Amino acid sequence: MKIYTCRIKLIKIIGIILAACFLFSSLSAKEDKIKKNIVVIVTMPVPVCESNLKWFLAELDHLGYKDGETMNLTVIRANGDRTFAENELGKIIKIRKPDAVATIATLASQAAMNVLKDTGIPIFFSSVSDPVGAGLIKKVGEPTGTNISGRVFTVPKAVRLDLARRLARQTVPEDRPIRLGYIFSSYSSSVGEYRRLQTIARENTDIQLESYRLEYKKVPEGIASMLADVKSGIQEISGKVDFWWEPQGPLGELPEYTKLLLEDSKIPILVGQKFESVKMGALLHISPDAREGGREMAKFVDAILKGADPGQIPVTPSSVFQVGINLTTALKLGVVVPSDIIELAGEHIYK
Amino acid sequence: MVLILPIIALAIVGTGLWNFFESRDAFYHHTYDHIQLVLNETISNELTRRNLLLKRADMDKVKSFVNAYKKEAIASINERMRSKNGTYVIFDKGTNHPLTYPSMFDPQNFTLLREEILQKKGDDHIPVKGDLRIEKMQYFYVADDFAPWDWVVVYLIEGTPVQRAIVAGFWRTTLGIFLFVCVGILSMFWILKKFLIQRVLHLKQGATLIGEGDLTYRFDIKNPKDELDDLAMAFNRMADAVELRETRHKEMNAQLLKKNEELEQFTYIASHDLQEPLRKLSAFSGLLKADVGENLNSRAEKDLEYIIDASQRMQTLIQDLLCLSRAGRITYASEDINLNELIQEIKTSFKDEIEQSGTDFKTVDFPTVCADPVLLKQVFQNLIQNALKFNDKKTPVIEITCEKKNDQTIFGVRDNGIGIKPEYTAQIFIPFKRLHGRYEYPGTGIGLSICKKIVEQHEGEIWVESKFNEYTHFKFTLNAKENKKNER
Repeated sequence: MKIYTCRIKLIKIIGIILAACFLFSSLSAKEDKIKKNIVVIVTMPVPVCESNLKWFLAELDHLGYKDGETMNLTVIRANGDRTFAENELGKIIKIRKPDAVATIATLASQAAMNVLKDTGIPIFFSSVSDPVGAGLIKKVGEPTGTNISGRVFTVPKAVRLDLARRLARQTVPEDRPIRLGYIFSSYSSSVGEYRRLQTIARENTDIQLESYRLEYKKVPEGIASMLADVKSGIQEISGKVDFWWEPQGPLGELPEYTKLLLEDSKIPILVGQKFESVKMGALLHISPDAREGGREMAKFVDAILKGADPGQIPVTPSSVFQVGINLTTALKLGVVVPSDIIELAGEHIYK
Repeated sequence: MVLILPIIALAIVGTGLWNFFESRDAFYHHTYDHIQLVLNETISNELTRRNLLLKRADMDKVKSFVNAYKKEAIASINERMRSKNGTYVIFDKGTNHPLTYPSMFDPQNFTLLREEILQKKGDDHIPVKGDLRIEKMQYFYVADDFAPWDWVVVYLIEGTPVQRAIVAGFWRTTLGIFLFVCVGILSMFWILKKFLIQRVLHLKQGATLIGEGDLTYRFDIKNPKDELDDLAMAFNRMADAVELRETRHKEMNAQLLKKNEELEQFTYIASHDLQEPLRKLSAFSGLLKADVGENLNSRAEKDLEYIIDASQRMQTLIQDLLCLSRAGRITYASEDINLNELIQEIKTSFKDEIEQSGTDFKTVDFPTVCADPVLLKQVFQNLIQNALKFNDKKTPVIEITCEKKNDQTIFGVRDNGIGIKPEYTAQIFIPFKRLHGRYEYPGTGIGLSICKKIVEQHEGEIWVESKFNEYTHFKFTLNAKENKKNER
């Protein structure tokens, strides 16, 4: 009888131990399963990239991703140095394989693509204005079929041109074309935009494009050199243009560039590349909404982490835009900003 | 039914008129609401929005912006107008200058409209509505201020389509009501027919069958659901009661017939058996008188005479009783009788009485009748005998009558005798009922009872018409069907 009781006790103890082991192992597995490794690469600390990053992280938080709890977040700030970005990403891969990589702007996206080419690690890019020109994808509007997808950071050329033309035409006589001056660097997104403007000028007889190209130099150390080149460009083409058109890319993002255009040439900037340009005196700014872009990227990353195939997500242009207008410039030029543009500008009306 | 049709017609016309006025008001209301809505939308979208944008951008004092936005607003309104069915008039309240108005509005019409609106509006900034006739056309309009720019915006809709819509709506609804009423009436009739009339007819058929004697008929109702079912159940109960009474009646009738038969049998047997001792009594009293007649004292002889007389009267009485009994028991032979001959025979048999009394015996030409000759002869004999007997006139008259009334032949024997008082006419057919003393008018008082029985056996009737001291006319009919056949 005594032996029988001891056996029952032994069986109970073994059962409790086994149950505890099972519970522990399942909790561990769950923890491993939930914690995701996310890497974000930011091209450079310019407003558009920073805004993009800020809203990306905020949306991730909103979706339940907490750094250290449900995800391991690594932010690589490339500061315009692609090699640096590639090296940093390479190191991370060796330590812990990321579940998804989010890239902000062209340089970061190119670096990620180069490093993760054959790994199958998903990449989602944002704030890239010309992903085809940058070699990231083959065609806009279709799924890539690879490990990469993203959103094109561009405003359809017809929209941008229509807004600009409605304002510019009020000061330029009807009998001659509107002459746009475009001083740009060899940075890929700038080149891409230059090509689009060229196409516009070819297709529309009332638009004439005067351009000046300079070599892109790594920022911040190359800024002074590039601005010197911009000065040369202003001197060369300012007599042939009615308005400046700021380029996309790191050069256009610089406030010094805007200042130089406004002060050295006395020619108004029709389209500024950033809101700051409008604040400084550019008439109009229109770009995809960086806030919405950041949020959208977070949602796609979440979907990818939950099993969506990036190769099946079509790369499409942004659908939400933001407009800025400078009314002082408009009044100075004798331009009446139509009500629909004022309405679009919303809070971005500057004086 | 005569009243229902005018009521329905009145209801349709009344409803139609009511609907007309209702739909007219509704259409006007709807039209003004629509105009107001379009106006609000326009003012809100094109004017207020631009004014707000100007204010927000702090450009509402910059003339170039304000003028450009006003132009923009008018252009936009004109653009909007293309998809609307109405027209716009906008004028500056301060300058009274029209900013835009449709081509059909010449300056005179515009002035007319402007004056009317300004008069209605006064100094108030509230929308005004109304209708205006311009060159035979009616327009409904609503005018509202846009105070920031001191504009008055008027939106007008041509009245003709609205009127057409009202009339169309009126006809549509009236037709709808008419159809609805028709369908309602037809449905009502159908429901009445299916659920009421058919059932009432069914009840009627059942009641008719029961009335015609089919007491076994019953309505098949187990669980009554309404008043008609209750009525059918009541019919069933009534039929049960009638059937029960009929059964009892039949049983009682059968019992009565049996008793009657027994009684007649008894009468027959009794009278038949009584005859034999009576005959002996009569015969032996006669013999006794013959044997000792001369030796009897006068008192004994008188007593013997009483015995002989009583036995003879008893014999007559029993014979009459037998006769009455036979009349009830004999199955009569139905054959064609030449009544003229029969009457003649009877007249011959009463020849002595007729001659002695000097009676004027009249007959008519009689048709051939179908009856039992012996029994019919008995009837005429009894009636003629009574006519001869109950007559105190110097010249008695007896008429044998025959008349036709309502396809029926009525035979009769009329005399100018003593007549019968009206209070006795009902009693004379009762057996042994005598209205006079035996010594005044001899007889047993059973003759008329025999007549009645014979006539009833021939499925006929017998009755008397009389006036006391003037005449007595006995009348009777025979089987009408049989005799009708003969007449043909």
